[in-house]
Amino acid sequence: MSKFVRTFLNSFKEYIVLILLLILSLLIITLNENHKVKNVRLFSLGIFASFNKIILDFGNYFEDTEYVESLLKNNAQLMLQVNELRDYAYEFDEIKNQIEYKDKSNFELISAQIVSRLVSKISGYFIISKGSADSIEIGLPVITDKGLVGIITDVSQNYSTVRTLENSLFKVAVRDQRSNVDGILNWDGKDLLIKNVPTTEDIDVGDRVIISELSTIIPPAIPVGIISSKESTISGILSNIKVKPFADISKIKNVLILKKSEDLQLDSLITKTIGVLK
Amino acid sequence: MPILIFFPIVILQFIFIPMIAIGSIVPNLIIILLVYYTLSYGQLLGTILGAFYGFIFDIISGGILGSAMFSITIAGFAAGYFYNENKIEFNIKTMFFILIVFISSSVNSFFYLLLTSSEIKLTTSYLVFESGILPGIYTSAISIPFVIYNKNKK
Repeated sequence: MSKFVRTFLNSFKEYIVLILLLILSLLIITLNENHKVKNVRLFSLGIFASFNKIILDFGNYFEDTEYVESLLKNNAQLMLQVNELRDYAYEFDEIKNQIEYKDKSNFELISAQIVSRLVSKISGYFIISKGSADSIEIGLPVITDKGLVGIITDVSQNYSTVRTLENSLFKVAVRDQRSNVDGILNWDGKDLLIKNVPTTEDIDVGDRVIISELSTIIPPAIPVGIISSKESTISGILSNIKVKPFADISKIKNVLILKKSEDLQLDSLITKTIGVLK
Repeated sequence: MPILIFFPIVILQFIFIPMIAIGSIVPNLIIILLVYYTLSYGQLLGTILGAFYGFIFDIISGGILGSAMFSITIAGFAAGYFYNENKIEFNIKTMFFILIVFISSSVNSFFYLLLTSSEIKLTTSYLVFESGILPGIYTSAISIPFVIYNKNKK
């Protein structure tokens, strides 16, 4: 019997090892949300990102990074203000709000460098050079001077992980800035899509898409992209809307993290409440 | 040695390789390294090394933990089918290496996408061609200098 087992193990050892390792990796996939696993991961991510940062800093030695960062911040603030003004322009009836806007529009931005990036068709992730020590929190939106890039998903002391728009797990409530039609935007591996929008809704190619007030995670009115095409489904009742993002995710080197203002913290309270109810 | 050399390669993969990405098609240096060691030391080592490389890749990439471990393990196992202790030199120093890199890389990209795309519906042609074969072609093209270097090495 033992001879048989030995012969069997010898003949099929590669297959046995393969099956065991595959089972192990599937088990690890199920442990993704475990706190201990997350802590180990953040620790390793911090060490790896530090190495990357040193290499990147060496490459950027002759670049005036502070000046570039301040310009980026200014551009992003202007972009957010322009977007809000554009939003107000669509609301002629509530023209008084435009006066109140001046007091409200103070966006606190934290600049960060992309230390490393995972590019794949489905999973877009960045690691950026700011963490909890710079008051970065999970759920904060990441932007450039063009528009939304993604959202913070993990935070270690000095580094954070960003889930980009080009990630199938990223879903966000958006709206057509002109017609106020809401929808859910997500990445299908090729394009950013707002799926199953009734064909009767007033949506045109060229309309700007921004974060909706319905979003419980990202503050509203951050520009996302522009509608590039509209395709009807087979039934003809619904259509899929293709959105071209303003920010070119594959080329950006620096990003800005938008800190939530007091009134926007309502969103996080809603998220927490939903969590407690679950 | 296979473990020590992995770390500089993974840094290259995350910092410099995205700069030469064509859309979202990225060559995978880790697969080239894995194929090299698998063809040199056999299928068993290739499978175990694939799991190790995948696990570390998952930890430092910020992606779904276990997904790259799964796909790179299968890629290492697939490359191991071409291991022949009498033909190690031939396998590593000829264009045959590029073919094996292409197969392993396509297998890796296919399974990686399959595991990480639970949220979206993908067509078979998309999975096989765009997410399997295209990254495979790009990775095998990047492995050509590696073969030339090996060929010129005594």
